[in-house]
Amino acid sequence: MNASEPTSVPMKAQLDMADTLFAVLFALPQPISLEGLADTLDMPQPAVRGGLEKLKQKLESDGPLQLIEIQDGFQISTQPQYADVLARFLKPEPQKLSRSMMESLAIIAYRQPITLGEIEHIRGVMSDYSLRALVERGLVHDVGRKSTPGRPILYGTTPGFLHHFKLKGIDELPALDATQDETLVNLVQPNTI
Amino acid sequence: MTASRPGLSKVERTPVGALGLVEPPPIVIECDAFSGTLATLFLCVRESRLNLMEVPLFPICRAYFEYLLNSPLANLNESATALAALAYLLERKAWGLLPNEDEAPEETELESPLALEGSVGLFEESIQTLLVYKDNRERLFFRSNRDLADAFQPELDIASVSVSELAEYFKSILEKAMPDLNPPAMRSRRNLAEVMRELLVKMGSEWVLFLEVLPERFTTEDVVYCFLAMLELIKLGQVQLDFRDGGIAIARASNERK
Repeated sequence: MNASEPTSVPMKAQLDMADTLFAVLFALPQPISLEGLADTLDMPQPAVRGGLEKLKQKLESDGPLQLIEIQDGFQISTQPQYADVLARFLKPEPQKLSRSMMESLAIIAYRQPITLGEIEHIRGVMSDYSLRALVERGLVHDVGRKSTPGRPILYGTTPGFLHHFKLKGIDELPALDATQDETLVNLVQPNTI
Repeated sequence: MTASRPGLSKVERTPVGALGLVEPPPIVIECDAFSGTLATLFLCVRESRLNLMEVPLFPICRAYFEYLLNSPLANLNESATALAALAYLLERKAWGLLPNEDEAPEETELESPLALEGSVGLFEESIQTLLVYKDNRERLFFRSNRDLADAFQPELDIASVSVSELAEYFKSILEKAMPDLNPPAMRSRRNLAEVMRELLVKMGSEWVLFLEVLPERFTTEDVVYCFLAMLELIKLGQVQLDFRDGGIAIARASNERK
């Protein structure tokens, strides 16, 4: 730790911080970023990060909950081994994504922001139905308009997309093969608005 | 953007509003699920802040037709904007009521000479990986947000200033504000957390009048955001209020108070 960073928080304070973070994260129904936690608790980010590490270890060592990083933040969830029993109570509706929706979604995720026309250009089929379905599911949304004649709408993924696939951020998308991606770069030029 | 990692090119919001350059007329919709103007409903649905499936169509259509009947000399541009908003909502609701993806229509192949055959196959491996991620994610359960209606609200501790005095002061500041030049549909969204941060930076340990933390030529929107930010900071125990020099003064909460 260098001289410009805040003084390290004592171990007991880190444990108390872990309990406080547990209470906050337990109550919140959506992920919260490290910055959001630090601002709300009025604590330096390194101290909050330390508390989150302690909380993660504490939860993993005992009990059915876990702390995960998801959607650019932190959130508490149940551990996967309890999924079957919880499903009996909650009866979650499976959120199926058809083949066409997955293709459109993948193209948007990797090439965003992107227009419907460009998606169809890559897929070779009309994609308006799958795009609408993705918008309805809250996985993609319009993020502006392309500065070309007609000003078509540009689409990008939503924070809900990250949560749906348990991604910390868009950078966590599985890497495309470098050679293959070069072909795509030639196919779809970066968009500007 | 690297060759092997996805990235985002910088996106700037178009200055043109979602419904174009003309602001829709104030058509008020009243129902159990929503209360506000047609323009607000449009923006909420567009930004996925409201589930349109919970809002019945009848009050929306009725409000629009009442507007048409009661405004025989209505501005055609405004009426057209309202119609565009209504059409958007009707279409979104219709799509939402359509059967699920198991009955999706067969997709028509494009006759484009530019489409690179098999290009979508380049994503195949990534799609399979994402599906694995999705399966793993579906084995996790999170807290639902359905209970937030009864969420605990900490008391607003505003010491010597009464709520009515605070309201009167807010009203007096609003009267001094310059009007917002852009209609709501054309304004970019502001982040309340950022306004709160800016407010804290402007305040020190000394008392400062609320008027002094506003921008020099403040608009109505500036006053509303700063006021909301101030209330949130009071709730968090970060700021305290007092009556000084004929106005509301604010300062960072003292350590003793914390």
